[in-house]
Amino acid sequence: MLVAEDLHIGYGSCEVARTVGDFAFAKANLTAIIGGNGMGKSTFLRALAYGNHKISGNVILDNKLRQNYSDVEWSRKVAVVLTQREFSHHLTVKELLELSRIPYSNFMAKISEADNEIIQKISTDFQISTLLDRRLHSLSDGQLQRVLIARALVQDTDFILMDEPTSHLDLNFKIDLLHQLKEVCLSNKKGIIFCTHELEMALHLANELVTIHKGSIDKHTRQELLSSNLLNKMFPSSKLNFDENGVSYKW
Amino acid sequence: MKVNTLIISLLIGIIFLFVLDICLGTVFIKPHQVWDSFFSEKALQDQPTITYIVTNIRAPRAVMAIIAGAFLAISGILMQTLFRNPLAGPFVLGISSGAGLGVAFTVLGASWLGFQAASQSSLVLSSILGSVVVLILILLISFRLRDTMGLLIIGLMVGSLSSAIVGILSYFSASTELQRYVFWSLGSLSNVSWFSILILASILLIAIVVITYLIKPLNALLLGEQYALSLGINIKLTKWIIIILTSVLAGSITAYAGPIAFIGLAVPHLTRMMLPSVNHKSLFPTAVLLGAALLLFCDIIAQLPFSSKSLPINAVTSLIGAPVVIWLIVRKRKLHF
Repeated sequence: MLVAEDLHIGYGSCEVARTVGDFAFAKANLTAIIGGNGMGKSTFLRALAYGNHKISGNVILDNKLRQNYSDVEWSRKVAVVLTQREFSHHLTVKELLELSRIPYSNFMAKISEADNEIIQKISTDFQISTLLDRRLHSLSDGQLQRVLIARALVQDTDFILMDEPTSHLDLNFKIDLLHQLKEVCLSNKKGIIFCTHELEMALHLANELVTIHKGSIDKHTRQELLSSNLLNKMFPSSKLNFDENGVSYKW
Repeated sequence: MKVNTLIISLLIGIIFLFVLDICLGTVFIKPHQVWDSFFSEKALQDQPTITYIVTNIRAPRAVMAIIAGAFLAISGILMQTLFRNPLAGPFVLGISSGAGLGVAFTVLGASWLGFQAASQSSLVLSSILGSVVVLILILLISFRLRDTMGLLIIGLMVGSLSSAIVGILSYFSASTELQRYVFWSLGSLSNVSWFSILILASILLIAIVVITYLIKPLNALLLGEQYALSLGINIKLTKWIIIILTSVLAGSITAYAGPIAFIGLAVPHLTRMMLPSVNHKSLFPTAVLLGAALLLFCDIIAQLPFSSKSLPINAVTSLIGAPVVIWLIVRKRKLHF
């Protein structure tokens, strides 16, 4: 269980958003974080992952405070998928996956038999085994995104936090990827929390929806969220309407 | 190419170039005379001049070439990985400019402050100090900046800032001091005592030990800082170790040999082109050997064998090296970074 307890996040003393009480994320659960641009989706995610941007409150994992975990212990509990692509694009997919076993390796980062098995299994599950020898710069956006998500799975953590994992992907890749994530999350008992702009997909696929609106971070089920008027307030547009049936557009 | 094959051929190459570097020069010394100078007990009686040239002039210079090549290759890799920028290198970020400024203060400013002519060890100290100051400055700025290109501009600015100060210092300096600084800035592997080489070799040894422990964090840094953090790497500590190591390496070699251009930037790239992987475990040993071999080769050229003249090492490294790198990049059409 990953808990954001009365977590106030922001930059310096400028608060961006806050949770009230024990705000818990369960394992084997796919949670989508939605909110308008600049509302603090990524900030919230980074606060959970790194403890950054925290003004007050606590991040608690399995009844232990974030700051009481060592860096290495934490890296065995929480993995991330980021939007930034600062990594060396000359790495091969296999090297990237091997680097993700760092939390478990000795000081020379030697790859063990067990590490290799995990890498093999996940690349098969995630249909990237044919890409293992390719360099990252030779992959398409869709392939790269799959690889990055597989990377987080290779890290073998209880929770995976993803910042817009489906952006820049074609519609079919988006929906396939999210379906697969849900499957992984349920079958491997992982908690996956992801920020997204894809409202419809989030509404249909996520078990839980977290909204960030006007500094308030709240949790809803699909029905609750749709029957409240919140989405209309969050994404006001004369061309858009949210009701019990989901999104409708006025073209 | 297989890493082991590459390393063995580089080692053989270094031995060959090392002997060649000692043999060639204004006077040609035969390989067996070189051997005798070191290992024959009667060398000082049989061939006093040759023994002197070999053991006191050419051998230290050749060893210095190996050490300098290794130092520059290591600090080049460290900087490029830290900043994940193919343009980074001890020279580009102004570390050498800082070292130069330190030396300029010591050589040119000494007389102002009433010191005697600066000794070799004070040159080393001032060079290390200069490079540490610049690197810390660069790093403090890098903590604030998100943009690596901005950092490179700042490195350039630090460079022109220090050259401006050097300009002012030299404007008011006596010609002998000025000449000493200009000679220093052109780079030279000569006139280094065996004692200094011993110091540099110990630094190299320490650096190798430190690097063994840096391989994992450096590999993690290939994923970018945020991912490295999420893999449990202590980024702050790693950064500080990289900075201290780089400034000691770049600073000390710059103090003894002057700001040697090109090697620190190009050797890591050449190495990456040759290796199948960017893993630092194979990158470091290969780059160290390649750097050593390359600088030995440049030193042979710089001595202009069979003539009575010699060139400054700095000119040779760039004159030979830059076209090679340009050619390689054009041929491979992509920088392996």
